[in-house]
Amino acid sequence: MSGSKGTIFIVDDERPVRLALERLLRSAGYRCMLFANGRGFLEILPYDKPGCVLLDLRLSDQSGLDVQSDLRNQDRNLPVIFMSGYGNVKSSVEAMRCGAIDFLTKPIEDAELLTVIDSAVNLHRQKLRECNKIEIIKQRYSNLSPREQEVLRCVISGARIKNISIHLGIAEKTVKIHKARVMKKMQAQSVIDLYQLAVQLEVTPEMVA
Amino acid sequence: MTILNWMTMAWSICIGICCFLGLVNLFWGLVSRQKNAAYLLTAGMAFSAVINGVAELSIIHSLDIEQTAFWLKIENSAVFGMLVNMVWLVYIRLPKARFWLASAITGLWSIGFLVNIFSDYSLTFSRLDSISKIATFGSLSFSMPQGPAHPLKIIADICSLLLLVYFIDASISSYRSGERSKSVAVGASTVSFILIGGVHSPLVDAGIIHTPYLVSFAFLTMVLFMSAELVLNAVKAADYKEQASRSNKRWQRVIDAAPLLVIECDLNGRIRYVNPFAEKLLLKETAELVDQPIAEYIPVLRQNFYGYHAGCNLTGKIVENRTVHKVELINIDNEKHILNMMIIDVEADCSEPIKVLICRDIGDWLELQRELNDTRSNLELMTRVSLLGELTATLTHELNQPLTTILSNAQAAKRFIGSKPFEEDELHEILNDIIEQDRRASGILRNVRNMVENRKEVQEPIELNQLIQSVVLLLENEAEHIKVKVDLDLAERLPETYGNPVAIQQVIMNLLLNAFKAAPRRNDNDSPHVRIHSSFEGENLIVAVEDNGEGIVKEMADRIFDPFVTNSNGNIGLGLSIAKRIAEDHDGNLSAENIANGGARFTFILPQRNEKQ
Repeated sequence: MSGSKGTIFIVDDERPVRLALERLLRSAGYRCMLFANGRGFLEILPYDKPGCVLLDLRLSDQSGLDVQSDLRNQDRNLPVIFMSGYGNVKSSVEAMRCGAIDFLTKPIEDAELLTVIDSAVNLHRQKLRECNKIEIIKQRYSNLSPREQEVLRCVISGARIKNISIHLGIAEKTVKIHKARVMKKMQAQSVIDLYQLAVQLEVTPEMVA
Repeated sequence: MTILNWMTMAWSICIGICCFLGLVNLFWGLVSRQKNAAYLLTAGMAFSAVINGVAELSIIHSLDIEQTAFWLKIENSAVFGMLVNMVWLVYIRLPKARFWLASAITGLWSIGFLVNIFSDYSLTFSRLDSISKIATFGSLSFSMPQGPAHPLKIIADICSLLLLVYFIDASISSYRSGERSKSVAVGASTVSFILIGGVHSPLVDAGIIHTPYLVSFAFLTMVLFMSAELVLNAVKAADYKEQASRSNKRWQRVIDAAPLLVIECDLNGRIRYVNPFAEKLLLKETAELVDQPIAEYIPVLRQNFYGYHAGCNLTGKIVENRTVHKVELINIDNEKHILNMMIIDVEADCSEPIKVLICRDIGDWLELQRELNDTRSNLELMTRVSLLGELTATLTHELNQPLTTILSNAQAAKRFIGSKPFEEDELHEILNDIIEQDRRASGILRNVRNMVENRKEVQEPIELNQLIQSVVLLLENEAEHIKVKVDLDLAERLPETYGNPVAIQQVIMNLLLNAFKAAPRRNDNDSPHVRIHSSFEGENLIVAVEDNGEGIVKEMADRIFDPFVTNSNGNIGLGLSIAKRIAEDHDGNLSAENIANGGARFTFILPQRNEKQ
């Protein structure tokens, strides 16, 4: 839905609470999806638009922490914000250790809630973009022919063209042509760019004598 | 012939004794308050015997026919008097004596008496021919009138016969019915009379025995026998008087010393006597109180002195159920004392009936009761608070839900209003939700507040199902927290009863919390759950709480309702003992048992009560 600032998943076993939070978040421009328990929520994962989860620590059939660990297995990027009527130290520490973004105690003031959600959604957006980026790079890399991939690996080790041609057993001219194609397909401006892309792809350089 | 011979002496002694006995009986009959008639009749008998003796003596010495006739008439009159007195005396003394016989004898002899008076020579002789001198012992002689018998003398003879029959019959019947001593007395005297009068006299008539008639002596023995009991009674009376006096003194000491009020009143409620303890309370002495109405100090008696009577007379028979009444006494200083009062009717045989009030001052006791009740109330309150303390965490959470909802709703509304356009319908929804959630929170708080109040001795209508549901609501979160499932199996309609709703809730809450602790202890895979039943049987409402825990350990079974018994740390262990006490306050009961598949059932029985009870 365009025009919304993000999608918030509200998981709480109390209906009045879900409705109230939905209204508040809607008034701030977010779109909400409401779930009474973890099961319903986990079914819609993974989610590839910016958003976050507002998760109550205590649900009727399982603990919020369990839902969070299940979530991490299915979608590592979606941020989790815990809320609870209890607010004891132990649960909050545990929640944070498991990677939650924040822990809010009920009743939750709108200013605090919106601030936290805002940063969580932005975080998610960033992560999504990064994920996206890597996907694009991966796509580009897979478009390279095996020979081109080989050339890339040698180039990023910092070897000179002459040495690469000897190493691969092909003519220098051929190497130059391959390198140009790699640079174009990978959309790198310089060898350093290429190197950085390769790091993101976790491609190891090939040592050339 | 000297006057002082053995005959004169003998008869004089006889007359003397009879005279004495007559006087004694007369005196006793006039002075004593009981059985006057018997003593007067005996006196009559005795005096008749006196006259008879005098007459006989005169006849013995008489030489003149006219004189003899005169004395004969007197003698017969004396016999008449004697026998009539004797007949009615026996009638009074022996209950089985026959009235018709007595009347017949009296009637006949009255006729004889009249004949005797109006005849010339008395009833005995129709004509006096001569007076013969008969020799007897001691070389003395006595006069004996001679002549043909009077035709109506047979009346006297018939009467004598009837008399014999009457006495013998009366003696035997009375002996059989248990009046031993009296029957013996009458019987013995009859026998002696027969011997002396009935046997001796005919022998004298026939000339076989040469003595005068000894009828006087027969009469003397009868008088002696009849008086014997009197003499014995007189002796016993002195003894009894001594005993009674001692006994009286002893009881008086008891009444004086006991810390009880003892007040004697007549049947109209006027005071006759108060004991020293009562004097202290009333601030007046007995002398000042006599003849004042008791109602002046115990106002409640003004309405109906008789209405409070307890009914037990001194012979020990209980006439009605003895009841004790709580009354108020106000003395002249306007001090009020609360008393437990019992009224006893005292009906002694020969004195005026009185009512005795025995009262105990229970002011101190009432004060103690009040303190005890206060302490118990406080204790119940503390355990309630402690129960609630166990729920703090869940209650906080419970309250947080509505608070969160209200806050978020309100803040959302503000934002909606800030951004135009906004939907009015949504705003209404928001406001409705806010109101509902606030009410929910208030409900929870109200429950908590009720539990923490200390309201003693409350009699309010109780809707048992509603109470159960409110407790379940309060504990909903706790159940979720421990992951225990709660099933409600409530009767559709329960009769209304009266009692203290908060106390009942305390009992149910206690049972539920115990069940919550017990249920999860099972080792097997059955998930912990607790079931609450409500039902009614006859006049009793029944609440049963079942869990599927491990059940009650055998060693604990007898003791779980005792105070300070617990199987979990941190618990004082008063909950169940107080719960049981609350049940008993409502005339009900709390019991526990293990159920078939493992687990325990606690049953709370609450009898139906009306408002008045």
